[in-house]
Amino acid sequence: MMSNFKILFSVTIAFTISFLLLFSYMELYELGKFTSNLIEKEEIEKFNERKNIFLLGSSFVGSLNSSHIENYLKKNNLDSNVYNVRDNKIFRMVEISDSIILANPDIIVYGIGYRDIGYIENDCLITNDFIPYNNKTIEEVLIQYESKKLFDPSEIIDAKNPKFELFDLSEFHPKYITIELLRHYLKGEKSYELTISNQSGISEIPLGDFKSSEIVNIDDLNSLDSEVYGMCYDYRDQELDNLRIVMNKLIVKEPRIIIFIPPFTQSYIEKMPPELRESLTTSVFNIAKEFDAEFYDLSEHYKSSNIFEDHTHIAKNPKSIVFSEDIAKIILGTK
Amino acid sequence: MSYTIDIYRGKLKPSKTLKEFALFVAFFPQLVAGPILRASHFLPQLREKILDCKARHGIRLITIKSINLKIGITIMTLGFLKKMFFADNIGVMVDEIFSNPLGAESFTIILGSIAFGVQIYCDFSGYSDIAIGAAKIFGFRIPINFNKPYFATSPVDFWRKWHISLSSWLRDYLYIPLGGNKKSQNRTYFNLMIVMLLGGLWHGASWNFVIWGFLHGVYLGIEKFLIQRCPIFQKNQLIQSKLGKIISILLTQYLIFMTWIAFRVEDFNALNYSLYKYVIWDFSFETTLTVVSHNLIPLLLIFTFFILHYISYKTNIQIILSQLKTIYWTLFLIAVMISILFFFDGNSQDFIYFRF
Repeated sequence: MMSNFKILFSVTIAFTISFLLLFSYMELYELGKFTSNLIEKEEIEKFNERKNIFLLGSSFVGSLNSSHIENYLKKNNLDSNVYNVRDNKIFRMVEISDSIILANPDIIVYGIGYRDIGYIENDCLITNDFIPYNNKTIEEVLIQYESKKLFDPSEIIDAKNPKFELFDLSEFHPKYITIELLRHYLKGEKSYELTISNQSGISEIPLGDFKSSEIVNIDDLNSLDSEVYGMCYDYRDQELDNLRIVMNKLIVKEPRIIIFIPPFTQSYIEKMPPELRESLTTSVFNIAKEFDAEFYDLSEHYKSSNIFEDHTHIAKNPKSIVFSEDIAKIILGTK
Repeated sequence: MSYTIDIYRGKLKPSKTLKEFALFVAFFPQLVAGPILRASHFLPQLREKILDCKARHGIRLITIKSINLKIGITIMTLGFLKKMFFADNIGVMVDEIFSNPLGAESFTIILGSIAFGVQIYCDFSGYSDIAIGAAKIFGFRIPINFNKPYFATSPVDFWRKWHISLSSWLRDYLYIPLGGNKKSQNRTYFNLMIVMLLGGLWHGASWNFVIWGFLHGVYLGIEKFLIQRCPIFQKNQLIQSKLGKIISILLTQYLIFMTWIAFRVEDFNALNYSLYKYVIWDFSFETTLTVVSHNLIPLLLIFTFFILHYISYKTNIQIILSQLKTIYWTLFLIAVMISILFFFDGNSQDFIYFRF
């Protein structure tokens, strides 16, 4: 019986020591003491020298992989911190652009989809003028919309901690810390990762444990009716004004600004009345010109490529990485 | 089923009390997913313990012996290590590759199938170890369920080492009653195929598992055919040599890992594509290198797994660890716990075999 107690005591000791080490590890990491002894100084210096690049926009920008862009730029001699601040409509960007400015952006890449311009929160969601919202009533759409929690990235920017950025950690999690440290010593590349688990959009969790979305065959997509939200283009001036407000704020620190129209499927493009599409594109182009921003129209760029998850979104998938690479090339000025 | 059949065959005395039968059915380390515990294994152990308790104490108490406690905890710890450290962390790479394999290169598919093979082994044998260890603590012996299957030298050998409780159950309660290999040759092939197809369906009502079972049925049939028609193979000196054994292991595992694709890839087009790429190599490395660079940690774990698998192939690692002095044994526990805790991402992953 005594021997049993000895064994159980050993197990208790093992549990205690393991958890003690775990909590100490996390605590020390949070205090910065752990990293300062190992890698912090060198990395902080490198970090400060890097360009801050912000990817802004709504869900269209969500499939841009900030880590991949960062790696691509690094390979082409542009050391940078790339942050994907996505899932924000233009009017929301008005609120958070101050926070972005505080983070000293060097380059801002802003993706503006056609839907963004016709978007009005809560009212007039589906009084569409060109595409019906398939099979859903106004009430259903509003309920669906209201239940959707939109993340405000300003919270993250306010709580910006260099160590977060240093390792692209969104939280102090033992696994993330362990793997980042291992990666540091292995000198491996940052893993390909995507962002669903980290709704912050501020860089991402580089674990390779991303939840990717599946690519839907482009022929299947193009053979179907595009299911898109109906928009209120009657109100477009309101969002274009908001865009001007955002741009006015962003230019304060004189960053390089790139505006692009994200890619869509052929079917989606064909469903839009050409006059409306031209008018929306021109509106965005004029604002880009007004603020001396570069303008790229990628709307038809991949219309027949097998990289979409639906008509308006590139899939979050390694095989869709061409989109991120093209954005990286635009940043480098090689596209 | 085995309880009823064994009683019918006169191999087992029926339980005289409901309590005894209930204890067998409700014995918690054993679940439907496996390891499959037969009444003929469990009830004699239970009856012996009840008699022993009656003789010594007059009450039904199970004494936990320190030797069983230490071995049980050691086996359980290794089970947790397999599941939470190896399987869950390697699964990240598997998900990346097989979430949408269409368009992937051959070597990416091969890498994915190896990773999934390691993941499913660590997952299920990890669970089996936890069950065996838990039973061992109470003094019950559950037969081993895996015996280093990735060192099998042929498909038949693989099934002697993989999910042993299921394969032996299928042999005793399905293959032999069907006639086994005692009837005509064609009947033997038919029996093998039926057993493997039903073995596949045991995992779930899906075409994937039928294909998986079919592939294994074909492998076993071909091996049987070669042994019967070309006995020279078995006596060949090259095959008997060390090199021959290594080649047999690699060839067997290449075939086995191919079947894991059918197990993992649910979409039929993707499965078709993956199997094609697995067999017909495209010798392209572009995206494979990207996948490798993204998954250094899972690859390191796969490499470590094979080293440990080899060590346990050569020695009985469980016994060696459980015989360590208390201080070293405690350090072993700490090392395992740290590995698990520091690599656990906070999201619990279900056991793969619990779906079946």
